Amino acid sequence: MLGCCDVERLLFDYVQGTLEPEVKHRLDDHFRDCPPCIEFLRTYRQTIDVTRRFCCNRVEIPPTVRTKLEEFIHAEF
Amino acid sequence: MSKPDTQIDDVQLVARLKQRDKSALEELVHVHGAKMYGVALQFMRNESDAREVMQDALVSIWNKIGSFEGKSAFTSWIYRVTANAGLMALRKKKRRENDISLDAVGSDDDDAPLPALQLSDKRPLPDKVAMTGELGEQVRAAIDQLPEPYRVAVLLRDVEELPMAEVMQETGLSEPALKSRLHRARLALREALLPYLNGQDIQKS
Repeated sequence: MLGCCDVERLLFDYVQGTLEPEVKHRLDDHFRDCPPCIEFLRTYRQTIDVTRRFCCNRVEIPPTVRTKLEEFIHAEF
Repeated sequence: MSKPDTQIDDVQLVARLKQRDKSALEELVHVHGAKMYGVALQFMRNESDAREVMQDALVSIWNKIGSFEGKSAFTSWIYRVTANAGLMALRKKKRRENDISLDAVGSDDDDAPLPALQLSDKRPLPDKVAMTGELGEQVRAAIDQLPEPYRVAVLLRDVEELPMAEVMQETGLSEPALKSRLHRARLALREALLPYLNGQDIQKS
């Protein structure tokens, strides 16, 4: 049986889906019995998700940068 | 099933770029520039360098559009080109600063967590960038505070979603080193973002 201390060590491969099936099965067993670890897993996955979704979105190009980019396009191409 | 308008627009945009229509570059900036700038800004953390990265990306897009076969979405391709331009710019900057190589920065033998990322002071991001949405703002602020090698790993793997093998190639890291770096970065981001994650209804987009 795997313990809480094993979770952090194995979490990366668990989330990536690259754990050996036997190890994954044992970790699944642990998650079923350990609410704090399942919560840790949930927030770890959320972190990856919000990073991907929010990292570079909704950033407006400042007007000065937009003007310089337009000038660059006219000059270089 | 018909394609969404944005995909049709992208098909036309690609066709015009392949025909060497320079006005298509302006439209590219108009339609996809905000996300490209967002990618560039996360790599460079200042307006001037981010603009140069965008310029490099535009040159790459112009030069490589002939090899774009449409196997991936055009948007994924241009964001990837922008991320690659950001990575190249960081390397160039490192060389200029006579620093050690990007690949060797940071110790992966050290399993200690990264220092806590400070979001509570709400220090402004570099430049006056118009941003909306508190979670988005906090995510960007947290990533912005990661030490550069960790930020680059997160941007390439978790944001641009490059395959592990490709990130290893880009960063020169071994698989264990990359895993360690990503994991520690994620733990630091998780710690900083925890107040915003609890109770959030996170949907896969």
